[in-house]
Amino acid sequence: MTREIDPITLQVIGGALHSIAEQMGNVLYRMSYSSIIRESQDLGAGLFDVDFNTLCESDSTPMHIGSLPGYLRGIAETIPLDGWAPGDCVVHNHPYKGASHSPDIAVVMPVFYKGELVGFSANTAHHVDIGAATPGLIIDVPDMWAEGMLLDAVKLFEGGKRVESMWKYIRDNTRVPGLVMGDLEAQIASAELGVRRFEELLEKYGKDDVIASCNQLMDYTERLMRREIAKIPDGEYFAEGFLDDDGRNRDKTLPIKVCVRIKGDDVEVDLTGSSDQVPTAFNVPYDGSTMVAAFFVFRAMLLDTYTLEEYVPQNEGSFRPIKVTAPKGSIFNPIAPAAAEARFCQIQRMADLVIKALSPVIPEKSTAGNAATLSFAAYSGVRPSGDYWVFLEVNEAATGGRPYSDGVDTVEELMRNTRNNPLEDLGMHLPLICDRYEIRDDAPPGAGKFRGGAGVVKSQRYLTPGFMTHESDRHLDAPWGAFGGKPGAVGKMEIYNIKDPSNVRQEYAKFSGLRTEEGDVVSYISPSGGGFGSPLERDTAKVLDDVLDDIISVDEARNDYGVVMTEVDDGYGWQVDESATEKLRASMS
Amino acid sequence: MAQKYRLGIDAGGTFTDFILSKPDGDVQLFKVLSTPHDPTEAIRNGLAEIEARAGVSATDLVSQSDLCINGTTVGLNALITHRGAKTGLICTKGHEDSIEIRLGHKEDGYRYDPHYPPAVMLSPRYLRKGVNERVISTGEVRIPMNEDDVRAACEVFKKEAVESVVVSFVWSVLHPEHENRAAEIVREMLPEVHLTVGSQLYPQVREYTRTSTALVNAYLAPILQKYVGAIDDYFQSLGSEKPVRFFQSNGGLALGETVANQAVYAINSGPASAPQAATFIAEPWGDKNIITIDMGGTSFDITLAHDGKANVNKNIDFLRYRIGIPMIQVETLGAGGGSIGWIDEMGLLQMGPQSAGSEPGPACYSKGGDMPTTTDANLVLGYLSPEGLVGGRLQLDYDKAVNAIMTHIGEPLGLSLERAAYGMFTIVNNNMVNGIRRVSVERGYDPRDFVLMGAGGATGAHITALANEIGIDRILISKLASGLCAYGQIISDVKYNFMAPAPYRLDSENVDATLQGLFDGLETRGREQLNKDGFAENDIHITRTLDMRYTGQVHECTVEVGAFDITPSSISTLVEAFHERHEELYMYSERHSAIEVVNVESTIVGRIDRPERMKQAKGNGADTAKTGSREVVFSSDGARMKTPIYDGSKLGAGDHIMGPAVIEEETTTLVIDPNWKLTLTDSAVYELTKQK
Repeated sequence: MTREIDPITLQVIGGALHSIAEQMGNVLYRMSYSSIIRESQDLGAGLFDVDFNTLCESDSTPMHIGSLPGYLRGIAETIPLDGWAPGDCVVHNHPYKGASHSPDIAVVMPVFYKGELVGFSANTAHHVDIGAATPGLIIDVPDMWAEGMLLDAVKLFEGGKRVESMWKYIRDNTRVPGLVMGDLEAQIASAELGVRRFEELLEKYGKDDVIASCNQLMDYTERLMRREIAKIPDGEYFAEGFLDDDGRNRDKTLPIKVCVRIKGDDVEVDLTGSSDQVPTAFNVPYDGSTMVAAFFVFRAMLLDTYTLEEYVPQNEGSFRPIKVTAPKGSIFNPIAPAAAEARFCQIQRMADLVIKALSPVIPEKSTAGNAATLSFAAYSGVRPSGDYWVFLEVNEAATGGRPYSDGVDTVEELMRNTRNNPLEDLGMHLPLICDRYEIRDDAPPGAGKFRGGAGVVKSQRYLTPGFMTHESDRHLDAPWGAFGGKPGAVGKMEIYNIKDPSNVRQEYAKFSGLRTEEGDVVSYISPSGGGFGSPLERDTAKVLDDVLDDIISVDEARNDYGVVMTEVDDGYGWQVDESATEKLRASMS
Repeated sequence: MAQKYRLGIDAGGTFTDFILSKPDGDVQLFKVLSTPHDPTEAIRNGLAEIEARAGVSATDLVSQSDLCINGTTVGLNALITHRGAKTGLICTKGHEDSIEIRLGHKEDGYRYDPHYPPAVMLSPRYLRKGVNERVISTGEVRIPMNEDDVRAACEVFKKEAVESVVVSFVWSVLHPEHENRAAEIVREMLPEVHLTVGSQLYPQVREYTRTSTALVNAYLAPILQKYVGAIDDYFQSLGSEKPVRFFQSNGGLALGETVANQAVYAINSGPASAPQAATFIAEPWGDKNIITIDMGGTSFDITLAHDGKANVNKNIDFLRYRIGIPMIQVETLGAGGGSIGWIDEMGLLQMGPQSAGSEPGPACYSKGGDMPTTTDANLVLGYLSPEGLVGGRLQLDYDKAVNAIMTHIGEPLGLSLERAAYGMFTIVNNNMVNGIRRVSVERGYDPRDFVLMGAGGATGAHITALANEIGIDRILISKLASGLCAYGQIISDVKYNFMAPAPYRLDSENVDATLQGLFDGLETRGREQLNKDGFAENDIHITRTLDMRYTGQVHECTVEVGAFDITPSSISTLVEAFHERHEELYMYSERHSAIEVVNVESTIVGRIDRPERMKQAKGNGADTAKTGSREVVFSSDGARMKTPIYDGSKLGAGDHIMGPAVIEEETTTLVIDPNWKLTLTDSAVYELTKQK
C-alpha cells in the first residue's frame, strides 16, 4: 500500500475512476421513472473501498456527495465485511444509521476481485414515496416510524438470487409502486455497471496499483483542501440566524448558530447553541446530512472546480481536515426516534452562515446572503381509478450578490442543484396547470453594488381535489446584505381559488397534508438574495436595465441606488439622468 | 457542356477546406485560412488556390459543377460572440421568463455560486411580452387570446427597432390558432421583421425547449439570410445555374432560403458531415458501425454511426442554449495538437484544456510558444518528422520541443525525455478514450463493436494507440482524412425534418389511424417541398421516428421505423421496436407496461447521386515508398525502436506495411504501432488491422 504510483498511471487511473462514476450517474438518471431522479437528478453514485472511503463519485446533486460512506458504515452495523457474497445487493435508508434522510434509498453491491472483497459500488436516489404519513413529503409527524418504510441493510439479492418477498414488501408499501420499483431497477443497473467497470480496472492494473492510486488521489485532494484552509487566518468566526418554525409550533423561531474555528490547515464547524431538536420531522440526520453539508460548503467555497486550475478528484480527501460539532439532542444531531426527514432548509442556512462567518476574512470567496432555503412541494391526489398520483417539485430561489457580479436570478443555490420539470410534460400526466413560472418582481432583490439574485414565482393550479405538503422556510429572516449591501426579500406562500382570485390566503412555509380543492392555485414566491457592496456604487446602466426589466421600480432606483430616471418615448420608457444622479448620490453617501 | 465537377466547402475555425470531385473519381483537397470577418473572402481565396494548383478557373469550375455545397460557421460564430439580431418574444402571460429560468440548475462544472455566470439572454426581459391566453394539455382553450396584448407588444418592438420576433405559446402545438393569429398581427404591424413561430419551427411538446429553439432561430436568421444571399449572389456571378446548397446540423443539405428561415438548423454544421463521409468510405467493407474521431489543433470531435445511421441528438444545451431540433451528435473535447502539458501544484501531469492554438502554437513551431504541447511530444517520440508538417511548409524545431518538455514536465517529475513525452501522449489519449466511451456507452453501444475512422490532421499519430486502449481492432483512414467533413458534404442528400406532437398511448382507440394521419400530413408537406426542389418521386426517401416511453416515465427514447402503413396490426411492430430500443439503451424492457408516444417526426430525404468513389492506382510494393528510418517510442518505458518511414504519396493500392512504421502524407502523419498491419486499398483508404 505504501508504494508510490508514477504520476502518469495515477492520472490514468484517476481519469478512469471519474469516468466510471460519471457513467454510473448517467445510467441511473437516464433509466429512472420519476421526475425527481430523471429531471431533477436528485442522486449520487460512486465506488468505495472496504474502509468506506469514497474512491470516486458522480458530479450530481451536492447533497449526495460524500453521503454514501455514512450509509456504508450504517450497513456495517448489520452486515460485517465477511457477510458479503458476490451478487449481493443491499438497500438502506435508516436515518440513524447513516442515511441522508429516509427517502434517499441507497443501493449497495460488493466488488470482489479474485475472491476477495475489495470495495463497493453504490448509489443513492430520492424516492417519490416510501409510504409515509402524508404522500411524498412529511413535516408534522411524531417520529421516524411515521416516515415510512425503514430499510436497514436489507438484501434485495442474495448471491445473485432475487429475494422476492422483499421486492413484494417494498411494492406493497408505497403509494406509487410503478415509480419506486422502476427507480430501484435503475439504481441496481447503475450499481452493476460500477461493479463491472471496477472489476475491469482491477483486472487491468492489478489490485495493489489501483488501491495505492486511490489512496494517493485521496491524499492529493486532502493536500489541496488543506492548502486552501491554511490561507484563512486562524481564529474563531461566528454567524447566526433563525428559522421560521418547526411546522407545528408556529410561534417559536429556531436559532441557528455557527462558529467556524480555523487552526492551521484544520477547520471545525461548531453548531453549539443552535435550536434543540424539534418534535416534528424538521431535524437533520447527523451522519448523513449535517456532516455532509459541512464538507460540501468547504469543498464548494475553497475547491470549486470552476475557479481552480487543477482537476480535483471527488473523494474522501477533501473531508478529512473538517470536523463537525453538533451537540446530541440538537436540531443538527437529533436522538432517535425523532423524525428527521425534512432537513434541507436547516443545512442550507448552516452553509450560508458558514459563508457569512468567514466573509470578513475571505470576502472574495463569499457572497451576500443567499436565499439559502428550499421549496420542496409534494402535490398529490387520488385518481378516479383509485390510484395515487404524487409529484415532487423543487423550486428555484436565488443567490446573494457576489464580489464581482450580481447574484444569480432563479437558480438552485448552495447545496442543491436539481433541474426543473417541463411543464407541458406534467400537464400530460397530472391534474395540474402551471399558471405562472416567472422571475419574482413584486419585491426588489437586495440592493448593492452587485444586487442580490431575484427569486422565482411558481403557481400550480389543481384541476381536481388533492393534497399538498410543503417543506420550506425563510418567511421571516431575510437574506443578509454584505459590505454595505441591503438585505434581500423573504419568501411567501399564497393560495387562492380561481373562482375568487381576490381572496388570497397567506400560508406558512411548511404545511402538511393540506387538502386542496378544484381550482386552488398555490403560489410559491422564493426569497431573493442580499446585495453585495454599496448600492450607490452600482453602475447606473445596470440600474437602468433593472428598471426596464421590471426587477426594480423607478422609486427604488432613486431611493435605494440614488439613480434618477427620466421618462422618454423611445420604447424603453426611461433613461438615466446622470447629473441629477451624481448630485443625489453625493447627498446620500 | 456536361456537368463535371462537384465542390464542397467546409469553413472551420482555422482552415476552410475545399473538396473538388471530378466524374472520373479524382478527388482533390485544398486548404486556405478561414476569414471569419468575411467568410466569402476565404471562398474567393480557395477558388484562386484551385485555379493555381488544378488549373480550373473559378468561372469554369462553378458553371460546370452539378452541385456546390457550403458548410458554414456564420451562425455558430454569431451565437458564440452574441452578435445576433435584436429579438423580441411574444409568449403566454406568466411564462415570459422560462427562457431565463432555463432548467433552474447550475450547469456541469459549476457547483458553487460566487462565480457562476448566468447565460446571456438572446432576448432581454423588457423585450419579452406576455399575452393573456391559455391552452391546456388536452388542446382545450381555457383563456382566449387577447389580441390587444399582441398589438401592444408590437408597438414596443417597433419603437425599439426589433429585427426579429418570436411567437411561442404554452401548448401551442395542440392548438396553433393563437400563435397563427398573433403571427398575422405581427406581420401586419411589423412587415420588415423576421418572424419565427414556435409551433411551426419546432412543433414538439415542451414549451421551454420550443421557445428556446425558436429564439435561437430568430436571433440568427437575419444574419444567415444576409450570408446565404451573399454566397448565392457570388456563385451566380460566376455562372452557377443551380443554387448553392448549404449543409445543416441534421446531416443533410438545404437551399439557402430554407437555411435562412430555419437558421437553427445551420448552427453546428461543420463536423456534422463526418458520419456521412465515414459511412461512405467504409461501404466497400460493409462496415456500418463507425466511430469517427477528428483531432485538430485545439479540439477533438467524436461522432458515431450505428447501423449506417449517425447518432442524432435532440434537446441539447448548445453553448448554453437549449435546442430541440435533431442535430448530429458531435462530442467536442479540448484535446488537440496544441493542448498544453503542465504539472499542477500537487505534482500531477495534466494535458489541456488550455491550448497553444496556432498562435503561438506548440514550442516546436518557433512562433514564440514555450509550453510543451501534444505536437511537441509527438515530435520527440519520433511520430512527426523534424522536417516538418504540411509537406515541409511548416518546419518543426526539435530542440525547442525537447527544451519545453524537459523544463515543464521531465525535470519537475524526474522523468527522462522519452518517458515525459510518452506520459503526455498517454494522458491526452486517455482524455480522448473517455470521450469515446461516453459517446458510445451512453447510447447503449460497446465501442469494441465499431471500426474507428480517422479524420483531421492530428489524428493519425494517435489512432492506433487509441484503438489499443479502447479495444478496437480495425481502423480506416481515407487519404482525404484531413478534409473529411468537406468530403462528407459532397456525398450528402437534401434532408428536412418535419415534426408533430403526438401525445397518445399506443393502446388507445384508433391510435393507428391518428398516427398514420399525422405522418401523412408531414410527408405530404415534405414531398411538396422536395418536388419544388426538383426531386423526382423515386429519389425521395422517408424515415420516421417516434419519441416513445413507458407511461409514467418522464423521458422518452427515439425509435426509428420505416415508412410502413400504420394499421391495428402494425402497432405491434412499433411496440416491439420500442421495447428493443429501450433494452439496448437501458439494459431492460418492461413488456407488460403500456407505451405512450410524445412526438413524431418524418425525415424527408431527397437523394443526390454520389460522386465516383476515389480511386488509387496500384502500387509497386511498399518498399519503393520507404524514405528512411527514425528512432520511435511506442511504450511507457521510453525505449526507442528503429522504425521505417514511408512517403504516403508513393504508396499504391495493394501495398501493405507491418508496424511499427510511420507514414507521412502532405497534411497528416500516420503512426502504426507494432502489431498493426496497414494496407492501402484501391479506394484510397488505409485499412489498419490489429494482428492477433
